Amino acid sequence: MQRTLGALALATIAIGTIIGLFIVPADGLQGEIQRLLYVHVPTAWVGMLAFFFVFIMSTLYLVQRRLDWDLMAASAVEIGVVAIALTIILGSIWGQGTWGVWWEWDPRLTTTALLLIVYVGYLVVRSMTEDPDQRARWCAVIGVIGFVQVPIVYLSVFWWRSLHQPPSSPRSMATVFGFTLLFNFAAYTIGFAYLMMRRYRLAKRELSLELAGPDAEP
Amino acid sequence: MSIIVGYAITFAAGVAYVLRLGRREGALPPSDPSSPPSGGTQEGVNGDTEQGTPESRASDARKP
Repeated sequence: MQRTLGALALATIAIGTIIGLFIVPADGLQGEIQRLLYVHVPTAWVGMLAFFFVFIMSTLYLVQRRLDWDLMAASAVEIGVVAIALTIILGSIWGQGTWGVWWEWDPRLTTTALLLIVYVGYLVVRSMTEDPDQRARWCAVIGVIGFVQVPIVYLSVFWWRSLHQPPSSPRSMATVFGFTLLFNFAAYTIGFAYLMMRRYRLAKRELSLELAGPDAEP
Repeated sequence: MSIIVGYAITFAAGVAYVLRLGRREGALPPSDPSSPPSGGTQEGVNGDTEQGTPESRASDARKP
Protein backbone atom coordinates (compact mmCIF):
# COMPACT_ATOMS: atom_id res chain seq x y z
CA MET A 1 0.00 0.00 0.00
CA GLN A 2 2.76 2.42 1.02
CA ARG A 3 4.85 1.66 -2.05
CA THR A 4 1.81 1.92 -4.35
CA LEU A 5 0.95 5.30 -2.86
CA GLY A 6 4.56 6.45 -3.21
CA ALA A 7 4.70 5.36 -6.86
CA LEU A 8 1.35 7.05 -7.54
CA ALA A 9 2.55 10.27 -5.88
CA LEU A 10 5.78 10.25 -7.87
CA ALA A 11 3.96 9.59 -11.17
CA THR A 12 1.24 12.21 -10.67
CA ILE A 13 3.72 14.88 -9.48
CA ALA A 14 5.92 14.14 -12.52
CA ILE A 15 2.93 14.41 -14.89
CA GLY A 16 1.70 17.58 -13.14
CA THR A 17 5.15 19.12 -13.48
CA ILE A 18 5.39 18.29 -17.19
CA ILE A 19 1.92 19.76 -17.82
CA GLY A 20 2.72 22.87 -15.76
CA LEU A 21 6.15 23.47 -17.28
CA PHE A 22 5.78 22.41 -20.89
CA ILE A 23 2.17 21.88 -22.00
CA VAL A 24 0.06 24.68 -20.51
CA PRO A 25 0.62 28.06 -22.22
CA ALA A 26 2.22 30.88 -20.24
CA ASP A 27 -0.10 33.40 -18.62
CA GLY A 28 -0.70 36.45 -20.84
CA LEU A 29 -0.12 38.96 -18.03
CA GLN A 30 2.48 37.36 -15.73
CA GLY A 31 4.35 35.41 -18.39
CA GLU A 32 6.45 32.31 -17.67
CA ILE A 33 6.86 33.01 -13.94
CA GLN A 34 3.18 32.12 -13.45
CA ARG A 35 4.18 28.45 -13.88
CA LEU A 36 5.44 28.58 -10.29
CA LEU A 37 1.77 28.75 -9.30
CA TYR A 38 1.45 25.01 -10.00
CA VAL A 39 3.81 24.22 -7.11
CA HIS A 40 3.32 27.27 -4.88
CA VAL A 41 -0.45 26.80 -4.46
CA PRO A 42 -0.38 22.97 -4.01
CA THR A 43 2.38 23.23 -1.35
CA ALA A 44 0.30 25.89 0.43
CA TRP A 45 -2.71 23.56 0.21
CA VAL A 46 -0.72 20.64 1.64
CA GLY A 47 0.48 22.85 4.51
CA MET A 48 -3.07 23.97 5.36
CA LEU A 49 -4.38 20.42 5.02
CA ALA A 50 -1.63 19.14 7.32
CA PHE A 51 -2.40 21.77 9.97
CA PHE A 52 -6.15 21.03 9.75
CA PHE A 53 -5.25 17.38 10.30
CA VAL A 54 -3.14 18.42 13.30
CA PHE A 55 -6.12 20.32 14.72
CA ILE A 56 -8.39 17.27 14.40
CA MET A 57 -5.81 14.85 15.83
CA SER A 58 -4.90 17.20 18.69
CA THR A 59 -8.57 17.62 19.61
CA LEU A 60 -9.02 13.84 19.54
CA TYR A 61 -5.97 13.43 21.77
CA LEU A 62 -7.27 15.94 24.32
CA VAL A 63 -10.60 14.09 24.41
CA GLN A 64 -9.39 10.47 24.32
CA ARG A 65 -5.75 10.71 25.50
CA ARG A 66 -4.59 8.12 22.97
CA LEU A 67 -0.98 8.57 21.92
CA ASP A 68 -1.79 7.46 18.37
CA TRP A 69 -3.55 10.79 17.77
CA ASP A 70 -0.49 12.62 19.05
CA LEU A 71 1.82 10.68 16.74
CA MET A 72 -0.41 11.47 13.75
CA ALA A 73 -0.49 15.16 14.69
CA ALA A 74 3.29 15.31 15.08
CA SER A 75 3.79 13.58 11.72
CA ALA A 76 1.47 16.07 10.02
CA VAL A 77 3.20 19.06 11.64
CA GLU A 78 6.58 18.00 10.27
CA ILE A 79 5.21 17.66 6.73
CA GLY A 80 3.19 20.89 7.06
CA VAL A 81 6.27 22.84 8.15
CA VAL A 82 8.23 21.61 5.10
CA ALA A 83 5.28 22.48 2.82
CA ILE A 84 4.77 25.99 4.23
CA ALA A 85 8.51 26.72 4.15
CA LEU A 86 8.46 25.74 0.46
CA THR A 87 5.37 27.90 -0.10
CA ILE A 88 7.22 30.93 1.30
CA ILE A 89 10.37 30.24 -0.75
CA LEU A 90 8.38 29.73 -3.97
CA GLY A 91 6.27 32.80 -3.25
CA SER A 92 9.44 34.79 -2.69
CA ILE A 93 10.85 33.72 -6.08
CA TRP A 94 7.52 34.58 -7.69
CA GLY A 95 7.48 37.95 -5.85
CA GLN A 96 10.94 38.83 -7.13
CA GLY A 97 9.80 38.13 -10.69
CA THR A 98 6.49 40.01 -10.51
CA TRP A 99 6.71 42.59 -7.70
CA GLY A 100 10.46 43.13 -7.98
CA VAL A 101 11.09 42.28 -4.31
CA TRP A 102 11.87 39.01 -2.51
CA TRP A 103 9.83 39.92 0.54
CA GLU A 104 7.18 42.43 1.49
CA TRP A 105 5.55 42.85 4.93
CA ASP A 106 2.22 42.18 3.30
CA PRO A 107 -0.61 40.69 5.46
CA ARG A 108 -0.62 37.34 3.61
CA LEU A 109 3.17 36.95 3.71
CA THR A 110 3.46 38.06 7.32
CA THR A 111 0.65 35.81 8.61
CA THR A 112 2.12 32.86 6.67
CA ALA A 113 5.53 33.47 8.25
CA LEU A 114 3.85 33.59 11.69
CA LEU A 115 2.06 30.32 10.85
CA LEU A 116 5.41 28.70 10.13
CA ILE A 117 6.86 30.03 13.40
CA VAL A 118 3.91 28.61 15.39
CA TYR A 119 4.40 25.09 14.03
CA VAL A 120 8.19 25.23 14.25
CA GLY A 121 7.49 26.10 17.90
CA TYR A 122 5.37 22.94 18.12
CA LEU A 123 8.35 20.87 16.97
CA VAL A 124 10.70 22.67 19.37
CA VAL A 125 8.36 22.01 22.32
CA ARG A 126 8.13 18.39 21.21
CA SER A 127 11.89 17.95 21.10
CA MET A 128 12.30 19.53 24.56
CA THR A 129 9.81 17.31 26.40
CA GLU A 130 10.81 13.77 27.35
CA ASP A 131 7.66 12.48 29.04
CA PRO A 132 5.38 11.10 26.26
CA ASP A 133 2.12 12.08 27.99
CA GLN A 134 3.25 15.58 28.88
CA ARG A 135 4.71 16.04 25.38
CA ALA A 136 1.46 14.91 23.78
CA ARG A 137 -0.62 17.17 26.04
CA TRP A 138 1.43 20.31 25.42
CA CYS A 139 1.65 19.68 21.69
CA ALA A 140 -2.09 19.01 21.45
CA VAL A 141 -2.80 22.38 23.06
CA ILE A 142 -0.48 24.10 20.56
CA GLY A 143 -2.06 22.08 17.73
CA VAL A 144 -5.54 23.30 18.66
CA ILE A 145 -4.69 26.93 19.45
CA GLY A 146 -2.19 27.24 16.57
CA PHE A 147 -4.86 26.32 14.04
CA VAL A 148 -6.49 29.73 14.63
CA GLN A 149 -3.69 31.07 12.43
CA VAL A 150 -4.82 29.02 9.38
CA PRO A 151 -8.12 30.87 8.63
CA ILE A 152 -6.33 34.15 9.42
CA VAL A 153 -3.77 33.37 6.67
CA TYR A 154 -6.54 32.43 4.22
CA LEU A 155 -8.70 35.48 4.96
CA SER A 156 -5.83 37.97 5.28
CA VAL A 157 -6.15 38.99 1.62
CA PHE A 158 -9.80 39.91 2.24
CA TRP A 159 -9.43 41.51 5.66
CA TRP A 160 -6.52 43.82 4.89
CA ARG A 161 -5.21 45.67 1.85
CA SER A 162 -2.82 43.10 0.46
CA LEU A 163 -0.30 43.08 -2.33
CA HIS A 164 -0.84 39.34 -2.62
CA GLN A 165 -3.54 38.30 -5.04
CA PRO A 166 -6.77 36.68 -3.73
CA PRO A 167 -6.66 32.89 -3.26
CA SER A 168 -5.98 31.05 -6.52
CA SER A 169 -8.34 28.20 -7.27
CA PRO A 170 -9.45 26.34 -10.42
CA ARG A 171 -12.60 28.53 -10.39
CA SER A 172 -10.67 31.80 -10.50
CA MET A 173 -8.82 31.10 -13.76
CA ALA A 174 -9.17 29.85 -17.34
CA THR A 175 -10.07 26.14 -17.71
CA VAL A 176 -6.66 25.04 -18.93
CA PHE A 177 -4.88 26.69 -15.98
CA GLY A 178 -7.59 25.48 -13.60
CA PHE A 179 -7.23 21.86 -14.74
CA THR A 180 -3.45 21.97 -14.28
CA LEU A 181 -3.80 23.43 -10.83
CA LEU A 182 -6.45 20.85 -9.89
CA PHE A 183 -4.23 18.02 -11.15
CA ASN A 184 -1.31 19.29 -9.08
CA PHE A 185 -3.57 19.68 -6.03
CA ALA A 186 -4.43 15.97 -6.38
CA ALA A 187 -0.80 14.95 -6.99
CA TYR A 188 0.56 16.81 -3.96
CA THR A 189 -2.31 15.54 -1.79
CA ILE A 190 -1.33 11.96 -2.71
CA GLY A 191 2.27 12.91 -1.88
CA PHE A 192 1.09 14.18 1.51
CA ALA A 193 -0.77 10.91 2.17
CA TYR A 194 2.36 8.91 1.32
CA LEU A 195 4.63 10.99 3.56
CA MET A 196 2.07 10.83 6.38
CA MET A 197 1.95 7.06 6.17
CA ARG A 198 5.75 6.74 6.32
CA ARG A 199 6.25 9.37 9.01
CA TYR A 200 3.51 7.94 11.21
CA ARG A 201 4.94 4.40 11.00
CA LEU A 202 8.34 5.77 11.94
CA ALA A 203 6.83 7.71 14.86
CA LYS A 204 5.12 4.55 16.14
CA ARG A 205 8.35 2.57 16.04
CA GLU A 206 10.27 5.37 17.76
CA LEU A 207 7.65 5.62 20.51
CA SER A 208 7.69 1.86 21.08
CA LEU A 209 11.47 1.99 21.50
CA GLU A 210 11.23 5.03 23.75
CA LEU A 211 8.70 3.30 25.99
CA ALA A 212 10.70 0.09 26.03
CA GLY A 213 13.59 1.96 27.66
CA PRO A 214 17.24 2.73 26.85
CA ASP A 215 18.19 -0.98 26.58
CA ALA A 216 16.10 -1.26 23.42
CA GLU A 217 17.81 1.69 21.70
CA PRO A 218 20.07 0.71 18.77
CA MET B 1 15.48 30.48 -14.76
CA SER B 2 13.52 31.39 -11.60
CA ILE B 3 10.94 28.76 -12.48
CA ILE B 4 13.55 26.01 -12.74
CA VAL B 5 15.08 27.11 -9.42
CA GLY B 6 11.63 27.02 -7.78
CA TYR B 7 10.81 23.55 -9.05
CA ALA B 8 14.32 22.29 -8.23
CA ILE B 9 14.09 23.55 -4.62
CA THR B 10 10.69 21.87 -4.20
CA PHE B 11 11.85 18.49 -5.51
CA ALA B 12 15.17 18.66 -3.65
CA ALA B 13 13.30 19.32 -0.41
CA GLY B 14 10.90 16.44 -1.11
CA VAL B 15 13.71 14.00 -1.91
CA ALA B 16 15.78 15.15 1.09
CA TYR B 17 12.79 14.63 3.40
CA VAL B 18 12.12 11.13 2.05
CA LEU B 19 15.83 10.22 2.39
CA ARG B 20 15.85 11.56 5.94
CA LEU B 21 12.84 9.38 6.79
CA GLY B 22 14.67 6.41 5.26
CA ARG B 23 17.80 7.11 7.33
CA ARG B 24 15.77 7.38 10.54
CA GLU B 25 13.93 4.14 9.70
CA GLY B 26 17.25 2.44 8.98
CA ALA B 27 18.74 3.60 12.27
CA LEU B 28 16.04 1.76 14.24
CA PRO B 29 16.48 -1.90 15.10
CA PRO B 30 14.37 -4.26 12.98
CA SER B 31 10.91 -4.74 14.41
CA ASP B 32 10.47 -8.10 16.14
CA PRO B 33 6.94 -9.50 16.20
CA SER B 34 7.56 -11.06 19.61
CA SER B 35 8.60 -7.76 21.19
CA PRO B 36 6.26 -4.91 22.28
CA PRO B 37 4.45 -3.44 19.26
CA SER B 38 6.54 -1.42 16.86
CA GLY B 39 5.35 -0.54 13.40
CA GLY B 40 2.39 -2.86 13.71
CA THR B 41 -1.24 -2.12 13.14
CA GLN B 42 -3.06 0.71 14.85
CA GLU B 43 -4.89 -1.85 16.92
CA GLY B 44 -1.50 -3.15 18.02
CA VAL B 45 -0.74 0.16 19.66
CA ASN B 46 -4.16 1.24 20.81
CA GLY B 47 -6.07 -1.90 21.40
CA ASP B 48 -6.30 -3.91 24.57
CA THR B 49 -3.61 -6.32 23.56
CA GLU B 50 -1.31 -8.32 25.79
CA GLN B 51 1.41 -5.81 25.14
CA GLY B 52 -0.70 -2.95 26.47
CA THR B 53 -1.24 0.57 25.22
CA PRO B 54 1.43 3.26 24.95
CA GLU B 55 -0.36 5.00 27.82
CA SER B 56 -0.13 1.97 30.10
CA ARG B 57 3.43 1.27 29.00
CA ALA B 58 4.30 4.92 29.64
CA SER B 59 2.99 4.65 33.20
CA ASP B 60 4.81 1.34 33.63
CA ALA B 61 8.03 2.99 32.47
CA ARG B 62 7.62 5.70 35.10
CA LYS B 63 7.16 3.20 37.95
CA PRO B 64 10.22 2.89 40.17
